[in-house]
Amino acid sequence: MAQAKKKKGEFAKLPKEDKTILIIGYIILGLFCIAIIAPMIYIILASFIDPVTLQNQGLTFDFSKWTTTAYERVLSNAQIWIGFKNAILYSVLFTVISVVVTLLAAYPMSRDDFKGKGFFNAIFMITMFFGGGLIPTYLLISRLGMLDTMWAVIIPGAFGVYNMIIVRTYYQGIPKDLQEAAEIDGANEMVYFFRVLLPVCSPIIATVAMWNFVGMWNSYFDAMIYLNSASKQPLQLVLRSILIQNQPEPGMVSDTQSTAERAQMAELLKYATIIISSLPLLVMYPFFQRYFDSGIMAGAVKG
Amino acid sequence: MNNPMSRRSFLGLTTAVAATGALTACGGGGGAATGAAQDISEVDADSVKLPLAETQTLTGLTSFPAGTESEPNNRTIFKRLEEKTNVHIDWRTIQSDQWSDKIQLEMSNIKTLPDFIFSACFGDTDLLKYAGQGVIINVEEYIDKFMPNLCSVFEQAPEYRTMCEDEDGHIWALPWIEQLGYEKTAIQTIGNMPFINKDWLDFLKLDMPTTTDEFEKVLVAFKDNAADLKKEFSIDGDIIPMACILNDGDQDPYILINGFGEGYGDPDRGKHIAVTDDGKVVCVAQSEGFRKGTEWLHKLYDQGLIDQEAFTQEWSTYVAKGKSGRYGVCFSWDVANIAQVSMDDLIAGKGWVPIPALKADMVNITPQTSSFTSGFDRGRCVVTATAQNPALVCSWLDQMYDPFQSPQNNWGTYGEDDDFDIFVLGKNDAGEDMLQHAPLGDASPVEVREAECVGGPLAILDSYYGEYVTCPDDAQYRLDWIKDIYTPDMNFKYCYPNVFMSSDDTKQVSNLMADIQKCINTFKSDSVMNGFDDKAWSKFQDDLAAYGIDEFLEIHQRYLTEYLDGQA
Repeated sequence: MAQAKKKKGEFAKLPKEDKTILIIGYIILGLFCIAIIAPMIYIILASFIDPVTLQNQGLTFDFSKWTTTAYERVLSNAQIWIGFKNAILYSVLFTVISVVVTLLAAYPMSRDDFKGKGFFNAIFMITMFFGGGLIPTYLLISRLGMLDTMWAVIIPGAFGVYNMIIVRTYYQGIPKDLQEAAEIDGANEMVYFFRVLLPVCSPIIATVAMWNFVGMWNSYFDAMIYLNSASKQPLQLVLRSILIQNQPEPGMVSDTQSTAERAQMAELLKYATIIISSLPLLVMYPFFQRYFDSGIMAGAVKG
Repeated sequence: MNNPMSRRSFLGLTTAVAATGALTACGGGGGAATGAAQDISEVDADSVKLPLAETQTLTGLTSFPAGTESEPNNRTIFKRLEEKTNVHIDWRTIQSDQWSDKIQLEMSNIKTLPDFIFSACFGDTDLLKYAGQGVIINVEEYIDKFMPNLCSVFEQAPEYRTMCEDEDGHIWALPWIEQLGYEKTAIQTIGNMPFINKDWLDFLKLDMPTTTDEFEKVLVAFKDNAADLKKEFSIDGDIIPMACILNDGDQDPYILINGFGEGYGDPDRGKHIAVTDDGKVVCVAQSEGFRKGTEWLHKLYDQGLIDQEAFTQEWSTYVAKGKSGRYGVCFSWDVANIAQVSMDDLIAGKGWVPIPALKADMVNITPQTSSFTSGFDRGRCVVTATAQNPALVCSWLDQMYDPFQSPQNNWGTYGEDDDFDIFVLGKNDAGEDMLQHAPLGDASPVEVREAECVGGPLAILDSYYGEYVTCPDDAQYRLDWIKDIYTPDMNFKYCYPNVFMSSDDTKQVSNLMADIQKCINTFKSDSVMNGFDDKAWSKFQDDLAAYGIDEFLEIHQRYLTEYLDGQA
């Protein structure tokens, strides 16, 4: 409370132009926040509302029209829990492997005294612009014996050139003095890398780790292509199945009542599945947030 | 410095490791078929006669719906088959919602292909492609020699054999045949069936319309009495006299214009073709009836009788509005999907009823393209080139065409230990075993069907109903509607058959169709919404000509002529 008052005092002391700019800034940020939060609130509310009502009247606060059927239906599906377990396992493993590989690859690429830098750079760049195509990649994975194992999902994408470039640039931004100081103190290359360089890089490590985690968490395509067993499917793939399974096939000669019910169910499940799959990530963001704080470099090198 | 590892080697090592990870090598493609299958002439039909004396194992690939048993051998149908035939199948499976994404990959990996693909469901293009690559084998000789059940189906209905054969007479896949009605009574003759809200008609004391003018008056009455209808039937939201989704298959309203001009209507929402009585293929969009009908629909739209969202809405929106009782008229395969009405009411003729053919210049209903042969899937099951013993594979697959087996594979089975079965085992008039549909009860039949049936190649002919199996209830009432309400008004002799075009023609047709379909569909939407004048109509005709409508019709004509000659 006292702090708030102090801040208010500071604001009052500012010149008029600064105040105007600050207010405009906050308005823009506020609108931006609303643009992000409003759809989220809509989805949360929609996941509780009977789809027929939702389509006809939009959101309603007539609680007789509210239902938790979607969550009951989704959470009672045993596959969901298997999917959760797999998604966590794949995302964690992928993040660890991918961060390690990226950090190690980026280091030599950041050093001007590394011979062959141009050659490796060219090779990395090629992979950014050209891929093998789906079928050749599938055949490769198949012959490597990785089909229907989690490694098919984790290994091929573990090294991302884009992330490597980001990390390399970050390394290059670290003053050379740090390395010289370490060498004078007798640190060899390994010691410098692991004990001096990496600790000051925690913001970029956190960033890359989070990208990788979120990327893997949200991906389903590789899992769909390479994994066959139901017991190995990650969450996103399970949710996709639930949604597609409940899509009606108009024109199918089959029981009509439950086809229609399924159509309704798919509508309802759509929102519930969005919530369920994004909840873990929402919880995770604040956790990573603290690594993004600046000032970690402060004091590392005396000016 | 006294480094255990030199700086350079450390740098080099880390980069090399990463580079290995980044590079994706490009493996060579499948190439020619492997496996030295035995020569068919050397195989004695008795040696693969089932049941086998000694158990043999085959490998197969099939799909299963998400959430159901993923191991086919745990399904009652396959358990019984294994006992009966002494053939064990090692199955690989793909969840059915992922099938289309994954089957192409499987087919590219020829070394790991199983002996047969049970539920391949290949389209013509894929079938001819894999045939050309030598990944699948032609089975016509195996059918003649080792597949007596399928032969008997082909004898009873020879047109299916013709439909399976490519232009050289080869059969590349075993078909799925599900006859529900035949020719003009087939369940597929009308997809976009028009339905009207009978409760509203009765409440407003109106008769069922029989002409387009009467139909228009009914819609106007719905609109004018909207307030009363809302009150009487306590409806949330506005009344929509007529709802549809333009250009969306079974939700398209063009069946209403069937009586205009030449009476072609628009029975084929993909190709927009019809066949005249002298065996000529025509494009419906070039006809006078199409023009007059479109003008009439625009008139309805102009009066606010057609849903504003008819051009843009999705299926789910369409259903949601229907389920809240806002529609007077709608189009669908079965109105129970859309409106608030139960199957029992529909069977009793209450709530919602189909609208019969409306008279404009004439009364006519044009059956949908390839509907005369009812349910048919040419590429259902393929035998791969890796099969070491194709004769045994075919012999085993022939079991699926047994008249008592096919209905079970298609719908489900009897005598399981769990709560619900699709069938009970009964007796027909001759005192033989017969599969009778069990009462539906509370269980959801789609889910029970999915849990029990196995799909794959099979044949159910119309003659089976009453002898081996009863017709499913949900198909029966639709069949009755078609037979009683629409078949008498089907005045044209032909409908375009399901022909197996050559690879080149298939490609050319799909190239041409991309433009033609878009051109016609755009014209339909635009003209129903905004109307059109003579200039717009002649520009539309010019566009069609420019997109190659003549060549498109010529290709179809060639196959139709051949088909009709073959029948004569």
